[in-house]
Amino acid sequence: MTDYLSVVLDELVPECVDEEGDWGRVVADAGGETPAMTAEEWALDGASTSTVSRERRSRSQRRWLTRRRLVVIGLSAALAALLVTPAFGIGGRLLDLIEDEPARRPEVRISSWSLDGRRIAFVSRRDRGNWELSVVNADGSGQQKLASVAGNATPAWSPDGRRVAFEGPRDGEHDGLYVMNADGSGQRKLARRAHAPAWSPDGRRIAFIWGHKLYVMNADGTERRTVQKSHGGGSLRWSPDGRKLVFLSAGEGCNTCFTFHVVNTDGSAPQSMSVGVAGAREGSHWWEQAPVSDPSWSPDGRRIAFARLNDHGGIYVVNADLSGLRRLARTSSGSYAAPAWSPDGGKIAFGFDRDDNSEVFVMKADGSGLRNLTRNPASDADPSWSLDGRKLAFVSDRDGDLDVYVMNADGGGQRRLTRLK
Amino acid sequence: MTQPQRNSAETNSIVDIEAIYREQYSRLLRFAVANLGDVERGRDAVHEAFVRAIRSVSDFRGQGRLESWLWRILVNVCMAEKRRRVVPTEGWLLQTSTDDPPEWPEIREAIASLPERQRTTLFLRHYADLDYDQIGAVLGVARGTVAATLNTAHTRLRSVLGEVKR
Repeated sequence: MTDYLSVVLDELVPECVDEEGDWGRVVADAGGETPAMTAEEWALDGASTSTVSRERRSRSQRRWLTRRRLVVIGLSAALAALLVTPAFGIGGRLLDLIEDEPARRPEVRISSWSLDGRRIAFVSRRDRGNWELSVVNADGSGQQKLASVAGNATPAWSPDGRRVAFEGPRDGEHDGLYVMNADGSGQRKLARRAHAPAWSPDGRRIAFIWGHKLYVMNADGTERRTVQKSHGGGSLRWSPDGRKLVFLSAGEGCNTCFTFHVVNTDGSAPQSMSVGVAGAREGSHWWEQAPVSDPSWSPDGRRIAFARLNDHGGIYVVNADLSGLRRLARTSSGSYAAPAWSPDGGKIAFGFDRDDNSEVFVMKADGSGLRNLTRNPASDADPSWSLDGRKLAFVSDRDGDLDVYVMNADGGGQRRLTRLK
Repeated sequence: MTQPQRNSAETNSIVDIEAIYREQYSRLLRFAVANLGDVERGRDAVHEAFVRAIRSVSDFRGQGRLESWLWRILVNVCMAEKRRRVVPTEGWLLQTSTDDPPEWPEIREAIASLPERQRTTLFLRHYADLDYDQIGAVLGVARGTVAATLNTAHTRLRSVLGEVKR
């Protein structure tokens, strides 16, 4: 090629040398796991000086990551109290990371309870087929498929429970953000590309993340605007008063950090809490090293709970202004996931896995009164409160395959609702 | 959820995929931007290519180089993206900002008018900086075919460039 032609061609396309991409988001969207940089010790203030060694995740860790990826987050009690309809309440629960690996057994995760407590929405798939959003009555009857959805994003229910926003299957034809009625009718595409949709508590807006930006648009897809630039991100949640959004992203300007963001929905007053992982390998990603996840607003909007997955993790609570960080539940080993506030704000349910045995636990919001609700050698995970706080839906494989179960808030009356195989 | 297990080869492949992503992201992006004519769409394409790679890592059976396999996925993603959209000829290759007047419109038009195979080969050579063997592995053609294809494309572009210079 002539030098002159080479120069011309060079000028036609910008150099991209400053671009680094976002491997963590690739992993998240792929739903795959990658051999992880596992922090042997990790401090939220970044002060830890422990080294991080590159190691394969143990089987237990991998299993737990998978379970965690099944998890979606809690319900909005305040709105639930206001709205009593047979439709579905806010499905703020989200799973940004979901395995997408060969599997013959059904895979399932809870999406949301209906506002009247009579139905439970869940996402499942069989034989590596499409992920499907379905509903089942709380007595196990009336199981019904609503739509095919992306496997790595949990549908978001409107506060009145009459509509659901979801990410379509990434098959090249149905990519994008859709909204449909709660019975599966009236499906409409609102955005070509979107991830982690979250419905505002007033039902008027939908927030989502795509590329390197956090967006908010009207619930009909109009007036989309950028709230904040981000380094990818996920786990997007509205505060109960609809004034703030919280999400997680890669550490900004730091390859070995992750960042917690809280921002007003108009983009003002952005706050962030970056957490370093001392000794981490440069170039590795926050998601690999500090897999913190599942932020969940307390019903009064004053606090945010989140989980750290790996060993030495725990359930953490931080004030809405990102002050006052506290670790409520901690053990010398094991992995935590999916904290879910009870509708009255008095308790937090979560999943905990140790020695290949995951259980659903509950504790008071101050960290006291820890109780194992499931006590079963099978996998029990993904707790989700009913809006009256009297029941918890969860996922278990105690009968062979993963299915949706329900139990009383005290752990009694555990029974299976679905038969997905 | 059940925990499907990756075998060690798949796990190692993912480690290698990550390494390629980190080492070659800018080259991959530049190719995708050239191919799709838009930086944001280019980012999406690279992202999508690696998502697909991770999801289908079990399909990579060690035949050929992993890097070539990844480039092939990106080429396919870009082609699929273009098929899904009607790309105006004038938007081809370079979507400069609206503030900047378009540069070399004749060259752009000439590139846009190249057959798909020539255009992709040109982009892989010039923007991705792959050598002939690598391009052949990506496109599934012989080294000589790559050379001939590039020569044809260059000839066409030189011709246009000559006209421009006059």
